[in-house]
Amino acid sequence: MESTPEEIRKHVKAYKVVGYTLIAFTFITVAVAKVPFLDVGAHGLTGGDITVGLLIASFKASLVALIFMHLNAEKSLIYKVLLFTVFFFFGLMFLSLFELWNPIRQIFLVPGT
Amino acid sequence: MEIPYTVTARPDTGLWNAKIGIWLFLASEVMLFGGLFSGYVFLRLGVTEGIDNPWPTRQLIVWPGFVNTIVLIASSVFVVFAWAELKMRNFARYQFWMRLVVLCALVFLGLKSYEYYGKFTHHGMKFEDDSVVEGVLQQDRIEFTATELSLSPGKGGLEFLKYLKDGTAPVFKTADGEEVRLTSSWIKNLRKSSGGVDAPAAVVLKPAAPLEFSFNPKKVQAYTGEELTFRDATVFKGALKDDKIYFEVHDIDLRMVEDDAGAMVFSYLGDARKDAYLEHRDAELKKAEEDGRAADPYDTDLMHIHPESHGAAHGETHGNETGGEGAADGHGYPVIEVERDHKKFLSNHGPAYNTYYAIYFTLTGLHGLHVLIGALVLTYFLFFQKKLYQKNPEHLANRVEVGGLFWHFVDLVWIFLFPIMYLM
Repeated sequence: MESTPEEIRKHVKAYKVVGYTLIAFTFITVAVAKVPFLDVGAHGLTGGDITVGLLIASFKASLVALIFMHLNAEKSLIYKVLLFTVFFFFGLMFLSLFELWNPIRQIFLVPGT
Repeated sequence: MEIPYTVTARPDTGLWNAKIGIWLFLASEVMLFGGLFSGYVFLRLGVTEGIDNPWPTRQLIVWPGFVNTIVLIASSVFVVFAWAELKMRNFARYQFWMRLVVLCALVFLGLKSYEYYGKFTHHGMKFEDDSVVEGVLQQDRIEFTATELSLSPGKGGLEFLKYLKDGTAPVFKTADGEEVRLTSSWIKNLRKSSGGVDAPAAVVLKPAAPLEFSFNPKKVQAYTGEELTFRDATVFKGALKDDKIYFEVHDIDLRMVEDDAGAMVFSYLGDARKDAYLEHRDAELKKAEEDGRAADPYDTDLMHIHPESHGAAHGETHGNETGGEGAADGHGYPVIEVERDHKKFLSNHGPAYNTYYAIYFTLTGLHGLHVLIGALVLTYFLFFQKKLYQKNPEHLANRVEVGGLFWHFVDLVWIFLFPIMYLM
């Protein structure tokens, strides 16, 4: 990101706001998990709690990447590199789904064994 | 030779070299951590209810992780401030913010070390019937009084001497009445004279006075009341003094026990604590019914209680030799003396304890290593780059931007690690 000193001064204000937002959402993450009143779904850890926790984490991570790492205004080459990264990252994540859907086990497992 | 495009952008990409370099490196880092996160998901989804142990959820103390999140976020803000000050050519203020970044890194690593220390000094023991106690291991040794030892010169070494309670080098007598002190040169000579490492003949040695040993159980191959075989095949004759495991119980977990009222752990903890446990369990089941939810054995509250806060009051119970109620120690926690053959598994809460701790230490350890390396790089920029600033300030600003991008990435990984490890 190419910036003049004047532009940088403006950015510093944005960094402060993002910093406070990140801290606020850290409090919210803990509150959602620990305060019974804010507990999502049934008592204890549920799929709802996991979804909310990961959504907040993704929001915070996006702020860090876009503002602190200047991805909101980068050159196209970096976006191209990251496009590949995102594609393969999600590929890795979904690999674990084979634990739930295992065609080899389904074909070869004899019922009742 | 001057390396081109360290400050100005290349005309074809519009980027200076290190900027492309760091983003390619961060892409590889995403895949590294992505693989481990994927491994975590795989392990967690792979838990089979009723067969595997319940996946530990919300087991870590939250405040150190929470404070560390705030610290890393603050450090991310400070590093971007430091970069901005350099862009505005204000070196003194750059140094101020960068000092704060390094301080944050030290706080983070300090807190992480404190957490790790807690895990390595906290233990869990599973009984033969799958009941689990958690707390502090006080003693896990095999104590043996030896009156004779049979040393196999082919295999045997002198490692067993480390387990002598009295550190002084003992004097032995051979069958011929020769007096010997066990040293490595003595063993070497013995091997030479008796035919090398395959020599079958054992040398019988008798100590001048009975020797008291306190063995690490992992080093013992087998033992009875009168005989003990060390792992290098040295055989001791004498008397077994104590082989019990002394364990301070902070917590009991019976979620994997079919008949929890008859769990093995209660033969040590006593009836008062059993009654307290059953009362707690029934109350939790009733609460679950009132809330309209099924009794879930994976629910931490259901069958996971702290014995010091239920039933027998602090210091009221006293242990006995035959395995009655556990004696309370100075902290009010009962200390039980467990028969070694009742133990199925015993470990501290290190990576070996279960798959959760294995992936926890792998992920947080790798992340901690990144914090350490990032802090070293930024410290270098803080203290050793003034000359570069005077020569070409934009070059230093670019270096700090690259270091900062790495630092933000470290923060970004922790943003996911914190809820996944501490809150889910």
